[in-house]
Amino acid sequence: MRKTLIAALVVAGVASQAFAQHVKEATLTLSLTHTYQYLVTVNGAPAANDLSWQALVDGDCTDTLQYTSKTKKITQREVINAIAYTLGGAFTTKATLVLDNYDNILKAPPYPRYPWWMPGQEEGEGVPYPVWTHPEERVTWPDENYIRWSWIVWLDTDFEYEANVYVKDPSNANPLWRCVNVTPFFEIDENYCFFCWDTMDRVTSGKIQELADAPVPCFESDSDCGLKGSGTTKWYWTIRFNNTQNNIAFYWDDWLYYWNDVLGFEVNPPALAAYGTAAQYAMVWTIGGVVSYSWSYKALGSGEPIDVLGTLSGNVLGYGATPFCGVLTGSVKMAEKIIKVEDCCACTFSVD
Amino acid sequence: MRPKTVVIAIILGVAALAALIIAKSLVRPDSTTASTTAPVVEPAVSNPVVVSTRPANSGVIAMTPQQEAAARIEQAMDEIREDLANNRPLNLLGKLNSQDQQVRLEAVDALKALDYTNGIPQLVAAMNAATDIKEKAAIQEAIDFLQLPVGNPTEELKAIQAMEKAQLQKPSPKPAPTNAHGLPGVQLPSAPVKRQPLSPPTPNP
Repeated sequence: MRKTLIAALVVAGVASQAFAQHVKEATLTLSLTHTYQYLVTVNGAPAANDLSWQALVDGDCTDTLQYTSKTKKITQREVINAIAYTLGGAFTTKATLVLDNYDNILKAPPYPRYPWWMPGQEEGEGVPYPVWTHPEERVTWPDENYIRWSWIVWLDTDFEYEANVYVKDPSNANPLWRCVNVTPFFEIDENYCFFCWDTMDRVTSGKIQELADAPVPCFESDSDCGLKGSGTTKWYWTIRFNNTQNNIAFYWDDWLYYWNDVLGFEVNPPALAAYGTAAQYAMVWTIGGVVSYSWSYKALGSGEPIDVLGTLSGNVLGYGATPFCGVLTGSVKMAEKIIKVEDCCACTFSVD
Repeated sequence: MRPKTVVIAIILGVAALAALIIAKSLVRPDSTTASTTAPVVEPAVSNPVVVSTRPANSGVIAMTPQQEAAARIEQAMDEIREDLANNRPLNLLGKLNSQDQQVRLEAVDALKALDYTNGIPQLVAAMNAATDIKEKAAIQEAIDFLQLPVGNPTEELKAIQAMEKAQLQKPSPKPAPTNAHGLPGVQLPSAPVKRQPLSPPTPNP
């Protein structure tokens, strides 16, 4: 099963890039401000978890409660550090968070990602309809109100991942830690209302134009047509992160095998929030908000297919513990770039 | 059909095609004769479109100033996307002086996203140079974010340990006085409140 998992991940990453010399990859950045409850004291002494208010009702009329909040920033650097702690490894300051395999097969930003196994989505069936307008089978989205980018599909004894998140650290002294799949730390969703039509949750202003003699080929190498287009697409995006013992992924043999046995880490997640082992490294949060993706079609390289390229950005709100509980405000960005296949984490992801 | 008939038909067809081509070339206007005719005078344009002064052989189609600005901004935004994706904050600093506000603001946003604290002096200068209040506010917000502290695990561990210690030392809680709803702080009455006797029901008329 382990080898099947690895093989499936490799295939998923490489399938759409089989003949390209270049691929696209997105860099995820976070600019979050965390305002949190740092301390509660009773008469100057830190209060126990549930005794602060108790002091006021003991009847001696002399107690003072002091509530202290603090504010700090959470960026991709802090998130990568939280991942490194859990994995028992180290990344350089140049490390970044990158995403891949999050587009739909149409590579049409007005439509969301959908699982590859849904009707009409398999490679070789031509350009499929979006699943929700599929003529034969109206598919209820498997997660009701979430379109999960990092969807995990169980198929009998195997499972498959959609979008993947990596820590990319090309200058890491350990070659095995230059591209580390950290998808289970994250959950990335688009939210939609059940009655939406055609474009589901997405709202686009833009234009896609088919050209008979386009200067760049279409997505499929055997297509005679080309596309040009650009636009701005909005949706409601949610990202969750969890590096603690409460994340069930840290108990899955497959991932432990990959991180520990293949890459040489020693996975040891911290306890959730305060009052546990290494709690200062615990990080659990959820952020969400409307993001805006400005995109256009560009050729990946001379004579290569086109792909969608752009920048996603938006303001987000949320909550979480890092390790103290509090509220989050800020922004996220996802900037896409064209890279060589040999520099692509998904393309080089292998147990060998 | 006999081969001889086929050959004759092909010869006739080719001959007809050749005649058509020759006839067409005879009626095509000659460029030399056209140059001797009086030029067509274009009516004066009241609002002439200013086109690019790029040389004609540059391969670039002439654009209006608006189109040039749009192309310039699009290119700059593409460069910012690449710089952000490739973690190149130094390149972004140069964009703070762009003539286009959209580009300047995108560069500010990208520097914030990369958490490039070394760029604060340049951001301060850009804020001072900005004339638009919204642009100033956006740059100020980015500076404020960059100046925020990051978490200090050592300090946070001490705070956690202090709370853990308090938790371990907490006395066994004495039951706090509660009211009838189980809420703290309000003493229960020591004696039951005497109720006023109900009035006897009024008999129906």
